[in-house]
Amino acid sequence: MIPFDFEYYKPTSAQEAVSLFHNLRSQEKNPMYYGGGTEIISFSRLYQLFPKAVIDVKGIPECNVLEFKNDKLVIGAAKTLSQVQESNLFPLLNQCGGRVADHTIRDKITLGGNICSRIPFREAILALLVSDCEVIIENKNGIRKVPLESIYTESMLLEPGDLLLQFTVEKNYTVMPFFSMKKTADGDVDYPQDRIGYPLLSGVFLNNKGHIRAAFSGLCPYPFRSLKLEAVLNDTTVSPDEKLNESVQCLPAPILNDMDSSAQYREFVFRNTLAGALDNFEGVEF
Amino acid sequence: MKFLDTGTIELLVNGEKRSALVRPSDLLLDVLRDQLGLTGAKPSCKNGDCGACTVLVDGWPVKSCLMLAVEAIGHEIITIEGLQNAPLQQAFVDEFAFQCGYCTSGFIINCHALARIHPKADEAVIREWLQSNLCRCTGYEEISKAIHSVLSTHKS
Repeated sequence: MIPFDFEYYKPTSAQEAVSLFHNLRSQEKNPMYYGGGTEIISFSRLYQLFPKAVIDVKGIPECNVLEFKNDKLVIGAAKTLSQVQESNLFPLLNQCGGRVADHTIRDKITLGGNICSRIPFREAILALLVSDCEVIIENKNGIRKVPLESIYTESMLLEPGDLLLQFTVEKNYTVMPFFSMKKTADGDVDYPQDRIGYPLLSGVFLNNKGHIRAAFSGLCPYPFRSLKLEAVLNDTTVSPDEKLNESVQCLPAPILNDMDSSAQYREFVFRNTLAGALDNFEGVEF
Repeated sequence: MKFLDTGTIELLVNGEKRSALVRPSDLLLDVLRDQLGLTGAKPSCKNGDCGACTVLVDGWPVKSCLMLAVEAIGHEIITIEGLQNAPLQQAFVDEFAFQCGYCTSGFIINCHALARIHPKADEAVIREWLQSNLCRCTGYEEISKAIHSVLSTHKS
């Protein structure tokens, strides 16, 4: 059980949700937008979150869109990872989102919730980082559309009351060749339980007309796409070994070193992943 | 819709309208068990890891420890008590797909949803869905045989 009380609101429009947020905030109720709610429930149970009010966004029509519109894929922030996966509209996102937690929990976790998560992996964002995703946000000043990379560094840079409505991706990115993988610390345990191992590293590679884009999660304290690293990967003048060595130097933060894996082991996995991924793309010299 | 304090809500559970007195922060699992007397959904990890508390919400498996009761308003909830002679239940008996039985209701609900949603599921899909539930007795082989037997019936 959750050991404290909070108020529950389920608005039917984005404007109502934003207005509610500011109203509740002015009453010092620490309001939180509530998508799937898995993280709010889990952290509240553990005394790590104390909202006095939650605003369920699943009743907002704009947050429930999942379709192509004018050559753009539009995904509502309240769409669950399972709904995105079942739609099969963006296979790379299917794979990234399809590795979060387990299938039943993905029936509850929303795309917006995963990307705004406090948990470091947030794997769904990897597909969006490499595909020039734009984010549509509602706040008290109205709606704005911004490139994902402009509001994401180590986490989503949202102002209090900013409500994620939708993510949009150009259709051509949804059909580009890609390679993605997730390495766990233990691997197969017993059929069908091969999810036990703690997630170690997730990587995605998108082949944009011969130019490789890459993003990683689990390697550093936050998911990232590094243009510097991509420049190394796409440099045809350096040898494969040099690419691997230089790539390690391009990481935006030190490699994680914790009880699940040493930094040295993560680096080893990262190098192998890079080699395997680049080898996977036909026509890309490596 | 808003719930500011403890109040009565109406839920559609196993085809029946049921009333419950809940706090807005009450979990669906606790309300099903403590208010409605439906103890088939089992509390175990209460953290979304084990799947023992799985119920169907609009036909999809959901871990009821990760859902507020007020969220379930307007949705159709099916617990293990609501499955009556489902093929999966007989398959679990036929394949001896339980030992201590604590995880069984969660597994059956999840497998039942799989058989309904993906009656022709391939091995990868079966594997993906079964990963949502843990069996402390490690009876996975028999559970796997049970779901395969039902899916193969659908396939044929």
